[in-house]
Amino acid sequence: MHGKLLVDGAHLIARGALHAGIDLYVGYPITPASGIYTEMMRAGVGIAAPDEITAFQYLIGAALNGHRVMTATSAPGFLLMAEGIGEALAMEVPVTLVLVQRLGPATGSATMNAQGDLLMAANIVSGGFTLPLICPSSMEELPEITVLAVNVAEILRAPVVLLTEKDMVVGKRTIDPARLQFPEPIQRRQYTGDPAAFETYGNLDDHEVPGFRPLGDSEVRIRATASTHDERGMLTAFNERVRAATERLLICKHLELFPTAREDLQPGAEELVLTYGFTSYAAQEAVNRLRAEGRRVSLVVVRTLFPLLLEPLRAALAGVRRLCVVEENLTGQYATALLGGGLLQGLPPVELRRVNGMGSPITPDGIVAALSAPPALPGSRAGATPAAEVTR
Amino acid sequence: MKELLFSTGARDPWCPGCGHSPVSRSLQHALERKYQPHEVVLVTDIGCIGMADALFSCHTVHGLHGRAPALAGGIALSRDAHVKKVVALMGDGGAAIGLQHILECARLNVDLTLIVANNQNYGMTGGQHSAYTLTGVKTTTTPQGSEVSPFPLVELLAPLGVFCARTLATGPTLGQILDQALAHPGFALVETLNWCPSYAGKLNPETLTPKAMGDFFASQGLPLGLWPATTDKVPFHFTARPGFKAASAIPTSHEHHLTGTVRLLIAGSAGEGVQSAAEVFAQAAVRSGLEVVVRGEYPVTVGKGFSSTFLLLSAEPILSPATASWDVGLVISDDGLRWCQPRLGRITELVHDASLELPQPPAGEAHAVDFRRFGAREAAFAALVWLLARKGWFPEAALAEAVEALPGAKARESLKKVLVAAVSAAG
Repeated sequence: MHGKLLVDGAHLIARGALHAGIDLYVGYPITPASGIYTEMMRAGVGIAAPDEITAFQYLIGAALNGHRVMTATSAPGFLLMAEGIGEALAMEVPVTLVLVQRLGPATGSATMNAQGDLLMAANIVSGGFTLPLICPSSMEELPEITVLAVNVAEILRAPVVLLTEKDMVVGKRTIDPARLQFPEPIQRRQYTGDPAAFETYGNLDDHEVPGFRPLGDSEVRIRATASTHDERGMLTAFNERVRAATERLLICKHLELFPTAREDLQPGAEELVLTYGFTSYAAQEAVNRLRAEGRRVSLVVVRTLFPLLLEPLRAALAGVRRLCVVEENLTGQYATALLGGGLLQGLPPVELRRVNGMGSPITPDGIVAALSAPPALPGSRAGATPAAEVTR
Repeated sequence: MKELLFSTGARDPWCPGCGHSPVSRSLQHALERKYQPHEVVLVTDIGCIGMADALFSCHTVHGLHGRAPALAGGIALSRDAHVKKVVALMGDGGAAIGLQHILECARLNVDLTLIVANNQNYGMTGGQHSAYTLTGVKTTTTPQGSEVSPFPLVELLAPLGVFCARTLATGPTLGQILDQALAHPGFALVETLNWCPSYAGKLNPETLTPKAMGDFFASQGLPLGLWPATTDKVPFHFTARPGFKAASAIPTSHEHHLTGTVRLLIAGSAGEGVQSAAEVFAQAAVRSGLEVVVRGEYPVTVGKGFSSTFLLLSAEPILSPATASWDVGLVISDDGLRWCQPRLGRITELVHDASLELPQPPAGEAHAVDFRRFGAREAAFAALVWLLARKGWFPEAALAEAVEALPGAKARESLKKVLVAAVSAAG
């Protein structure tokens, strides 16, 4: 009999990050993300910043030097990093940012779980450039999804948010070490062409990510800028080259690098439960229970929230008459995004149920109840967890 | 005219007579005296001076308003030997929004030369006053003259022991100072007094002219000069010291006797070892092949008040740990009882220290046991041992092994004694 790990999510994220080749982590303490900071400092790859604004500037500077960089925070710190995140996107600088959600708004409740930062995180950059949001759905997935997030950041040369939550990061759970996965780290593409032809933001014509050279390179000159620019990295009057360099920042490339949804589909299922993050545990348990009662229910756990990867979800919806989207926030943010993105467009009518909540975890009971109740009245929220305290 | 090595040949973008032109030109000359363009990274802030990057043939990074010192700091502290010097250029507006970054770079003594081109106003946005605008200076937002004192940037930083200088943007001194600043292996601040021909200079023709500015600054306690570095602190540079230790697997050495799950709540006082007792207990459960979830809860002031742990043990894989009720509650102290009180009605079996008076009759089965006689720090562990001896979810030998595996000899010896005594107390 082999043994088990008894670890928290911060440790598993750190393991993933180190496997992914993160060689510089910039930290600033904040609940519930501090565990990751501590792990990375102990790992000898961390430095401290005096605030999150500075932290993100250090990250960008280090990434321009060629480091693979990461930080972790929760919403208050994320908002301080906001301008830096936009800067990294505009400058085409890879940064992996772990956002550990806690209860908002504002300082909210630092030690309470929530899934309420989804739309804030996705849309933090001005101009309508949605950030990639990658979301582990179990603790044993944490190393794997962390590596994939770093790979996406490096290949796309963009800030990538690993969106997780307090319950995934704080608190220990038995983990079978044999089930941990460590995908191959992928290096960002280096510029290998003629140095005389190098442009910091080249490759415009094929809409590809430009090849990288670090600051200090003796063959080429780096011209990095967060302002609107052409392929040379020069501030210039808005023209077609600048438009192309700006449009390129929309993340819709290399989708094969993003984690796919975890599907547990039942043939002939007329009901589909769709969820993400830590709530997946409750959803899986609810689905197991419903199946034990003889119900045909499918489960889809989304692990790339943005960009919206709708095709596999639409395929899973074939024959489904009732879709239940489960997420621990007040308004059903991802359901809204999916509907707005056209998830149900052109499909036969699907009854949508949202299981939402705030301040107490969504339970298997709540999900089972939502799927067992008669169709809800318009505007009502089926299956919200009762107000009684629930221990996580 | 021979083109400078550090110049792209681009025309400078500033108004005629602007102090930014001689500053940028002097910097190009000073860099050429010491470096090759590929060895230098120039970081520019937002504002008129931030447009300088187009003029420089070295590596350039153009970031956000006020952040140039932090961005340049990040580059400087994580650079390899290919980058010989990092220089940041910002105005007085940027130096206000980014003052924290400047102080931090100085505190760490990051090897970075920061030039603050102080022209007394925000030129790019219409000549508003800044936090460095001198008392009495008229700007578009202080038409009667600024009534407050400016930040004395050099005087703020000099006590940190870093290289500081205040100099006019025009004249021979700037070049000499830049040479010294660039040669200094650590943080160097050069504040240049720049004339803004379009706003501040125009509005203050008596005081803010290239000729009068030095005396005007001196009259407000901000003299020109050079403050040599006094710190012997090695410039901060990031060096990885890889030493990550992945958690090792806990061997499965025993067999458990649990069917289904047990939800256990342990509540005591901060500093009395509740969390560590629960951790040892959880490790013993893992040694016995059980699936476990451990979640501690305590106030942010970890040394005071309650300390509680939720322990979920299961013979089957655990999915959602969420629960609204508990099979067993172990209450060790007054703090724990107060915290537990609203939950008492949802605890099936309550085991509490004999010293505690329950505020209401327990909902289910209850046992009062004198756990605190084992010592305050050992009471939580004693209660868990007592419970295990009664329930037999897994062998006590697994707990003995978990104790044996503890890193600290003192805790190990103490818990070993409690283990024996508490088992016998359980009868």
